[in-house]
Amino acid sequence: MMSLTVDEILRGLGPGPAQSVGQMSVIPLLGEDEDTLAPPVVEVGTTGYGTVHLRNDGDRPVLVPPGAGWVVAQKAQDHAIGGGALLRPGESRQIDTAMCIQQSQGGLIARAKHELLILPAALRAKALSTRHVRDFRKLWEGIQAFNKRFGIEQHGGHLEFFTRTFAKQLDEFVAEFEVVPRQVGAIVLVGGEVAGIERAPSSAFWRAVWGPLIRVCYGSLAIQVARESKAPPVTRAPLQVETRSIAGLRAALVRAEEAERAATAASVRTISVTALTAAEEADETLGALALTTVASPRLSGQVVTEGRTVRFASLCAAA
Amino acid sequence: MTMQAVVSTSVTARATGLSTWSLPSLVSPAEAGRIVVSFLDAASTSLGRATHYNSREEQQRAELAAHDALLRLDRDLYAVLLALPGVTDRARQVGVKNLLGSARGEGAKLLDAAAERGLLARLVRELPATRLLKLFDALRVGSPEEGIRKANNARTRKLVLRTLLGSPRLELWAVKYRTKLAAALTHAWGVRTTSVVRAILGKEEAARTPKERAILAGAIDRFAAADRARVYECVGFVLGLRGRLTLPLLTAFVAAKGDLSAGAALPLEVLEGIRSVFHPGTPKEEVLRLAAPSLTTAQRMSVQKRAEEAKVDVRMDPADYDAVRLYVYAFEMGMTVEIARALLDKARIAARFFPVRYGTIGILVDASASMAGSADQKLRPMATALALRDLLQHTAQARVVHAGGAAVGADAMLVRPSGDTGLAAGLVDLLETMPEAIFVVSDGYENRAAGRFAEVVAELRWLGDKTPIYHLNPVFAAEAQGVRELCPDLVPTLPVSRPEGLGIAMLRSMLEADPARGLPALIRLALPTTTGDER
Repeated sequence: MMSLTVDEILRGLGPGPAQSVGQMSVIPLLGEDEDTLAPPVVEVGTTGYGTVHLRNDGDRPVLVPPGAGWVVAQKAQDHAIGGGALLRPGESRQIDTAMCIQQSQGGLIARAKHELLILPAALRAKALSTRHVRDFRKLWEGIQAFNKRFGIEQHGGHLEFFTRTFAKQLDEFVAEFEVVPRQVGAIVLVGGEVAGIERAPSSAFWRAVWGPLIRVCYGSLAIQVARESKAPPVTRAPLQVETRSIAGLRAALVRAEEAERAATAASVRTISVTALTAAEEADETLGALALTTVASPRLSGQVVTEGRTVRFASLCAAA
Repeated sequence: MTMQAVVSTSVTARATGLSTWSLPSLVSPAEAGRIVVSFLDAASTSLGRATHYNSREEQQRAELAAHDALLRLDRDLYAVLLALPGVTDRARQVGVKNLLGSARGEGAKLLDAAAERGLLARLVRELPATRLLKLFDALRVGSPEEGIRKANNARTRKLVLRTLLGSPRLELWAVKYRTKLAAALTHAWGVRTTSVVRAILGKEEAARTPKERAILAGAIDRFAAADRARVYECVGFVLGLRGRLTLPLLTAFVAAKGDLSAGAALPLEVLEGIRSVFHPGTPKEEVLRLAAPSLTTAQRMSVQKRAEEAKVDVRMDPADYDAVRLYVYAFEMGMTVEIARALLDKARIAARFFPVRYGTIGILVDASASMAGSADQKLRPMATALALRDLLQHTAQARVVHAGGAAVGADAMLVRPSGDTGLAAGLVDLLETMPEAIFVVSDGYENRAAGRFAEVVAELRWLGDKTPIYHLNPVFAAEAQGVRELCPDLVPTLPVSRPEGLGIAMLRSMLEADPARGLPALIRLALPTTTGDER
């Protein structure tokens, strides 16, 4: 596989009505379930700084998504991984290219099914590009710069400074964007532009990753854009009543929704033919499944394919 | 469009009535309204526990201050409002103590002395047994952290004795709450009298002297229900007498220690306690099998799954449960004709207490995915929304629109939450039918698009349409530090955690807008509910 277009990645999926709150819009992608990969509910622990231990105790293969992280309440150093990991049923795996996301905290994460976090969109590209580098400090600089952008002056590569400072807003994103029936993916727009494309193999998988994605990965981007601009995004049309009556109000409502649909579709069209170049070799394979890194000037991330069929995709706008 | 407060014509004869009541002259209507609103907030929502934002102590201080302010403003008004549907048991517990601990003034305008006694008896009688006994215990030893000081005046003693000895549930309480009952009786009688009563009850009836009979008459008979022998036996049992037992629960309690099956009539937890101590080799399922016929209403619902697994037939009567619990149950176990009928009956009854009347209304129910609620209160927001919908439908000719959700069954009574939240189109749908008022039941999270509902309302007002719109929110949003609003400034958001609280929520809204009219409306709502037994 040399390249893939966004259209190809989304083949077989249809869009649902867009949801929009503030600077963020989400177009749910609807499709059928297929059971290639179980939701990423795995046992996680750290056995050393930069070494994450994963265990799939289920009876189906599991994909731990790219940018997965674990921020724990224990006195232990939070960690994340840059690329995804395919785990066979019952498989235990040490990933020694993981990264610390809590610089000055000591201690190892005790093995358990910890809550998943997906790294902020702005850090995903860096984390992905260094996925093979064995250096647990590799994201510290990026995290500190990221925090600074949000006015967080505390020193060090501590992602929890951000998640604590913006906990209320991040929690709100989870409540505001609802999973709809048959949803297996989403196109995420922030500030009117496509910020991410996500596809899961099943709605159960989607439900497991949606909270982490919307909360920190894309939520961080929405907070950043909202800090920079108070104006509504182009994908949010105001209600303009032309005839002073309830019928006029309904017509205005229809017009506003149509305008928003058109603006959203236009944004999506700009990336639908975008070709993403695939790495020559898959990062990992598991039977017929291949986990491959893909990138374009606008988007980068990883896909899981089975032949030419895309089972999973997580693509973020390049920061 | 017309909106009028409901004026009840069935005000209890023992209440002196609204005609003689007026706003306290020492404060302005606005100040009186503020005090009452503050009390209603505390009385309808506070559980005296810590919340996400406040410690238990802070919560309780604020709550007790709200009680005290209204008590000082107008003791009668305070008493009457405690009877409102939707007031929490915790608030009634505090209120009963406050009323018992303060003297009636000369200028009582709403309740005469007998009416107040009746009201107190009713409030106490309607408390769950555990809370009732906790109240009595707090009156005995004091519970400053709950705002309850010791009280042992004659009124208190009489209330304790009337409530316990006059209860038709005395036999059940005797086996279930022996120690607490003994403590409450000892507090009311005093240690010496209790000891004397125990000694007398230990004798054969024929062996009791006239003086002893007189002691029992003074201590028990004048407070007891008609069946004196039953009360004597229960009191003796509570005080530790085990001879000459005839009542079924009391004999079962003693017999079950030797033969577990003899305790079939006992409450589940009592039988379970006996099993664990005297029959540790007997499996727990056996206790469920034995106790199935005598389970409480709450237990009947909570053990349904366990009973199904153990293949034990535990029947439950839907009429015994509140509407929200029934809806949560229906989501889990399925809607039946009996449950649907019970829900509609409950809605019809609850609608009687709705304080305002409209000819036609629109009801917009948010049935989006977020209404499923959190893991620790799964489906409760949706269950509350559906119960509110049913209630409102019985208050006027209603048109209902569900935004999102998946209807279950042909009658669409049960709606499972799913999908996104677009409330604006539903609002316009309702506006087209020109209702006199619109009620929107929603958690306040809108995403198609966020703020669209508020835009429509703003345009509506700009068009000159003044249709009242109320947002009823069954979800306390932690991150919003209260309830999340759909349209701040233009649509009042009323927190309603159960249908019984809707009347309070509406009146609270009226009170804020117009205290001088709102207070009498509030009293009209509360007065018919104050009737209680008195002696």
